[in-house]
Amino acid sequence: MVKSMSDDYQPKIIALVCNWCTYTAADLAGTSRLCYPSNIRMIRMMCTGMIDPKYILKAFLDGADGVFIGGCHPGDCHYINGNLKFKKRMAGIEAIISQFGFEEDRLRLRWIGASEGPEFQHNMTDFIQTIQNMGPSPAKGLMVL
Amino acid sequence: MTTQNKPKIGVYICHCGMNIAPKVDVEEVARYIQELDHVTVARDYKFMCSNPGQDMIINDIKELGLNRVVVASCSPRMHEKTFRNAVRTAGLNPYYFQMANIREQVSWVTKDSQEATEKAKSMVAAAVARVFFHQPLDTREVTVAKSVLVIGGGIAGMQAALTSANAGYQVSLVEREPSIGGHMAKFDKTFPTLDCAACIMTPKMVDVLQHPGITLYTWSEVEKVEGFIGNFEVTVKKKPRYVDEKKCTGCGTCMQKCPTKKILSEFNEGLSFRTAIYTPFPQAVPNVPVIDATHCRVLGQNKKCGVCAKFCETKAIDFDQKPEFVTLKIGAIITATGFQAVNPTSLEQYGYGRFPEVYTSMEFERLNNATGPTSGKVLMKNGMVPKRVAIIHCVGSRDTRHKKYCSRVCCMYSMKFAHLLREKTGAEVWEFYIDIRSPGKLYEEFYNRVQEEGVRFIRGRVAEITDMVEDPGDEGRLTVIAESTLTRRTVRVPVDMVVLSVGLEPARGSEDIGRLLGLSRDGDGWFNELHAKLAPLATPINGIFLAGCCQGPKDIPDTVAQAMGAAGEAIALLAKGIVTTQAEISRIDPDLCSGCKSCIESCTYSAIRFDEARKVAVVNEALCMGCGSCAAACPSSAAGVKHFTDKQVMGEIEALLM
Amino acid sequence: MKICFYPGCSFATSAGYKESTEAVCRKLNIELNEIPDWNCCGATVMFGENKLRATTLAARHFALVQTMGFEDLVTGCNACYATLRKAARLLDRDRELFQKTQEVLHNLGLELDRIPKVRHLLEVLMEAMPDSTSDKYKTLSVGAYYGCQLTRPDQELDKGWYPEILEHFLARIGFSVKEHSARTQCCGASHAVIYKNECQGLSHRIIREIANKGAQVITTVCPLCQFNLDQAQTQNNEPRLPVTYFTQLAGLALGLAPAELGLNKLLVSADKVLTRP
Repeated sequence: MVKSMSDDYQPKIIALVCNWCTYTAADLAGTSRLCYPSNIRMIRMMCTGMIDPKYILKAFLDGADGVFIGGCHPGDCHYINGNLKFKKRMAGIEAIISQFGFEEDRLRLRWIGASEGPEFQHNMTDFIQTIQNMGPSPAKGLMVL
Repeated sequence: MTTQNKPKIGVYICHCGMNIAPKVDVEEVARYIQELDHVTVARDYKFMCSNPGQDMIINDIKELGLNRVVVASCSPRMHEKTFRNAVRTAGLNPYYFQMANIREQVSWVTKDSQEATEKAKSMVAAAVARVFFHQPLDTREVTVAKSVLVIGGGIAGMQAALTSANAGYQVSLVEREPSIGGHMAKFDKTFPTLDCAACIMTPKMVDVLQHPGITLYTWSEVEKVEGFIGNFEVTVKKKPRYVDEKKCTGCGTCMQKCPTKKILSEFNEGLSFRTAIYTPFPQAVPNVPVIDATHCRVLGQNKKCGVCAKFCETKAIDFDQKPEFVTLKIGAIITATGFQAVNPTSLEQYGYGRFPEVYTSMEFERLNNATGPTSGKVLMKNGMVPKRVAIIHCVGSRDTRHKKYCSRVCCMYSMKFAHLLREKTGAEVWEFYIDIRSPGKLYEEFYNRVQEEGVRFIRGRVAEITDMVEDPGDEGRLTVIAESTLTRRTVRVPVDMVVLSVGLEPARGSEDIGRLLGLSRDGDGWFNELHAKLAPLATPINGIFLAGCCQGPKDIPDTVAQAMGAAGEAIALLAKGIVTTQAEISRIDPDLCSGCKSCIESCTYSAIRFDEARKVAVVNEALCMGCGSCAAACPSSAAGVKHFTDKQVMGEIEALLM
Repeated sequence: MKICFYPGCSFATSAGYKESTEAVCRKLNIELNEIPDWNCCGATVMFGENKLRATTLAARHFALVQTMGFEDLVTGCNACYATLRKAARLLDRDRELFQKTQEVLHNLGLELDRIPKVRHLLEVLMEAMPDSTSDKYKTLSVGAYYGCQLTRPDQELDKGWYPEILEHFLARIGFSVKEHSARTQCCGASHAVIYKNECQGLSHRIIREIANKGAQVITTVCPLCQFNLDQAQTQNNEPRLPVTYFTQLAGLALGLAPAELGLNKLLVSADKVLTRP
């Protein structure tokens, strides 16, 4: 069963973010009271470099409509270059998810630095809007499996 | 799972005064969570981080037999440590704890109250799902060797060594040149106070030599660095000096007698000659010469000579000396490898190398120095005193084609040159600048003073220095062409001498030292500090600190302050005597490891080695920083980070999407 | 060797550039294939007017080169060289501009899929000229003048400010060279036509410097440079240095007769210095 693309459609979004930059930016958005839609569910990782592709696939198969990855800007990685290691894997991950029928646009990687609270807010709002426009994840139809 | 440690989870929802509670219906969240599997108790309370709040957790652990705890409150970056301690106090392993951030991520950023409550429920449920899979973890304590290694013997390294040694620790100072002193030893005066550099420098050099706590390794290089914070094992290569340091008295006869006399002196920036056996300058520390093997007739050209050996009364010359390797146990490392001046040859419009009267600032320092090639008289190559001198700022700096950064010291040393030129020669001095940058104690005042001394300042980057002559009377002089952006006119100034105020770049070999130590460098090659503001002396590698220009251009006062700070960091580490290793590090399951070595390749910290006997990868727990690159790279799921296991992360994902 | 040649507007009418280029190429077995129906490159003026038009003006030749089946385009003029390279660089970097240019060209019945490499005639001769075996011109000291556009802004051929390739080339084909500091100074370029008096000074500066450093003859790689430096000396008696094209000196090195190389067309006669024993 596929939900209609009406306004009450609330996408579910998983954000896997690094502890040192994007998670800190999210905290800053909080302390600055910068509101964004509530559909984001954030998971704190130590570094984007530790994000196993299977986590992303798991999220999509469990019904996430979008997955957001937030890391440090190149050169700012707490572990020197973990963010770039993840970026290298991006193309492969996109290929895997599209083989499962998920559009590549449902996965988004952005660098958000620790001091970029407003950027965090903007990125969340924008990603949710994108997913809202795309409609429910095709996995919703497969959920009977 | 045995009945004994069947999960019994306690969940605590914090009101955080008015910060969470009115927006999130905390009672509703507690009611919802209470119904989840394995949850023994779910409570809400005004301030969980307060003493009564923590006591509530401790009592429940003791009385209800809880073995897992979840607190839903603020960011774990704020209070994770607080609650872990509470859990530990109750006798539970502190890693049986998870936090849900329902303040920064929910109540403060969500407009609608109902939405906020729903989000909070989902996040707390995910924390419950995750904590179910938590495992007890241990940290280890390792003792710290009470010794410091300082790499680089310029003013930064010397100061770091002295401060560390004064605190009572054993210091090894490694310098690749024959003498300590670095760039500062080459300077004549220092801005803005015009202290004689030698007068403040040479006593410090002697202090370093004579300090019982400092072992000096000059003409030596760091060859290998192994181990980790508190327990580094460092191999130092002592290059052959061909002079026995113990026998040499520093009388200097060998240098007088050496027949190979026409080698360009590095210390004098190629403006004078030295012999094949030499000390870089008369006040060198240690006062023991080295033989330049390339130019020596015996060592380099296989000729008969040995004049130095013949005249040496203590028989200190040893042509058969070989490199020596010394292994040191080191607790902390201070990197002070400094800078080098930018070579302006590639800025062809300034004609350096083409016109003999175009000098770099380092050359001018020597020309101006009492121990320099002209004994401190500012003379042109023809022996005449210059009548008009141009000083060009920002050569190679603030230029996207060369170095985009400001080198911070050039404005000030340029004005120092102007002052010295006025004082010594009475020459007319023209400074061509973009902006004058004089932020520092008494710096702006020095700028004003130099202006009052009659130095002319033209605001504009110099376009060209040429020997093309407009007026026949200027034959033999150089003409500086620039746009004066204040008067909006092109100016052509015929001069006798030009000084190029070149910028700073990382010292030759910084890349190799960075690789040895595992330090990262920024786009311009300077070593990265751990945090630009809050950890400017530390590096991402625990136990390794930065001092002086290796981190970025700075002047002498900043360098000395930073060196003392870096020594302070090292002393703090050594004084404590132990380091606690972190628990969230990688583990590679030897049963699952296929020996593909992907993890070894992915590890930035060289913390994984290959066990050839068992054909599996093994994590060095002391080096691992827990970044998890190996876990993501491992194709057989053998590598994983403790506290970020697949089960834990995927359990969280699953619960969040319920 | 076959090359696709773009002469530009000043080539045929300049003082012996055409004659000497053709003579040298004949001698070296280089086939010059002139682009049919070529137009003005736009020079430095067009880019100030309209980017798309300026690019299209140059890109029309790129399409023609493609039709002719060549990979490279060779020109002997510094302004053409700089302009065509600028257009090539813009097209390479700006996808949108490339597509728009393609559309305009398509309406003209031309197709552009790839951008040819733009080369200077000097590069071609640097490869093709044999080393000198004669001492005939060893005593003739030449001041090489590059002009402002050959090595700037690209710096692909040599360093931007103080290039040396022309000196190396001249020494290799048997001339003596004089180092000097005017090699990339501006000659006044096309402004010499409108602001004649102002530009005289610029050209004189160059001539004076080269004479000061002891050269007997100047050599250039661009029609406008040659014209400006040569013409400036008709107003002034001192110093007087013949201003040749590098192709004329190459011709002499190959043993060709001065008349065959159009040397008689120079305003400041080269007869004296060339016939000197």
